[in-house]
Amino acid sequence: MASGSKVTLKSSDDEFFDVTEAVALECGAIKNMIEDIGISSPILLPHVSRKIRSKVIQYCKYHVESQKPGVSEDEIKSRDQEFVKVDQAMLFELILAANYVNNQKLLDLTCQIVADMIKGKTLEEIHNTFNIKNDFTPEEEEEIRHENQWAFE
Amino acid sequence: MDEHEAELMGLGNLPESCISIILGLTTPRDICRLSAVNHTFRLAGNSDSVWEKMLPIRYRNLLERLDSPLHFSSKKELYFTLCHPQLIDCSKKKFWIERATGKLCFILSPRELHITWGDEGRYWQWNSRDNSSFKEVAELVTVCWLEVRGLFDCKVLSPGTEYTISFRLKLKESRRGVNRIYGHRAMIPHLSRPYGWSNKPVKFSVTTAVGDHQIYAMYLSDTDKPVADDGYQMTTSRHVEEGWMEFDAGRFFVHEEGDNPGKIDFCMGEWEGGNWKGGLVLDGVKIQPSSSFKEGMN
Repeated sequence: MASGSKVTLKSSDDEFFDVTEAVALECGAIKNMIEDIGISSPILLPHVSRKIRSKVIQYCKYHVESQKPGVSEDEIKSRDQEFVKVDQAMLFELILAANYVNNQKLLDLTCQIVADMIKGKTLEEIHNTFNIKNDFTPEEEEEIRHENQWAFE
Repeated sequence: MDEHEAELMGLGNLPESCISIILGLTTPRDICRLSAVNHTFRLAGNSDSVWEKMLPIRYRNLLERLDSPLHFSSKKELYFTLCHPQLIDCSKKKFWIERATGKLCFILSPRELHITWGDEGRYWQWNSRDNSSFKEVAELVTVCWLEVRGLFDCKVLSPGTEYTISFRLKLKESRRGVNRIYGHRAMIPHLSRPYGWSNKPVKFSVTTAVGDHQIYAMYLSDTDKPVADDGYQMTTSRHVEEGWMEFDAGRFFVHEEGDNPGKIDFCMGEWEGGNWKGGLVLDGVKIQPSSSFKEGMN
């Protein structure tokens, strides 16, 4: 498995993109596909748009580079923080993409950002900030509030 | 996915598995409150993967030490069950979780402590009380050498937390204005009222495995009386439920990784005054997050 080998990825808009094998293997789902079918054919990623694919690859690339000696934990952390300075829509797309290609590090990183956003927020704030619909009936909601009374105090 | 669909992408589009990961990075309070956001949040908020993250890291070890086994059908149910004190180590200790934070708390029974003269009935007696933490409390009849020591291995405590060790006790209810002094020859079958506590303050101390030593003092009969003249720093104390008081012996920090306070030694003692004292009831020693006091009772 030469580190210089190229893997071709194909995104939802039918565009082809080459990455090194090392970068491709950062994503668990891609790694599994490579183990099954090898690297001679393009790996199809129909649920990932070009924009998101290129962001994910950017992430995988510098994580492969950071495995080389001389890169400190702090440097990696600060690059991670820069990476997730994106708008909400992009953030959620990254979560979906990381989940889909199974890149645990990226998934944990992006989910942490959302977790920090929702901690301590009231239900009203969550519904408004994230434009989520409350799909409970008033009776259901009352039951949940009652069950979890302590959390609302 | 085209650009138009991308604009609609939001928290509400994430699958339950992703919501679970997100909730697992928040707190028990957040998880319970946010279960009212929508069905996905509720399902994710009830999942074992989320509550596994809220439970103390070494909870399985603690479950093995229970006096009687617990039955639970989900990790969430286990979490809330463990918010109530559970007996472990042959009823010598209890532990519980602080509901909002998931931090572990312990209380050690007087039987877990080393009490000088504790086995001699003319000095200390072991009785049961309705409102005690364990089956027995240790009641001081009379001693001139008061010394109660204990040891606790901090590796089981919640990382990233400052803990306080406190002695939980009370002085038996006394009649106002009466302060009788009994000599050791008076073998009193009934427990006496408190006496001998105004001569010298009681000393409370904690020593960590790396040798950090803290020592404080307080007059049990008058917690406002200064101790500086005796050469000590005053400790903190508080009234808690059922007439008990907690006197703090010291604080220590349990780190996320690396250096750990190890086995902590703690002591309550008064042997400098040489006088006889009695009428103290010892319920146990509590080890709890320092932040518990600031927020009040759970």
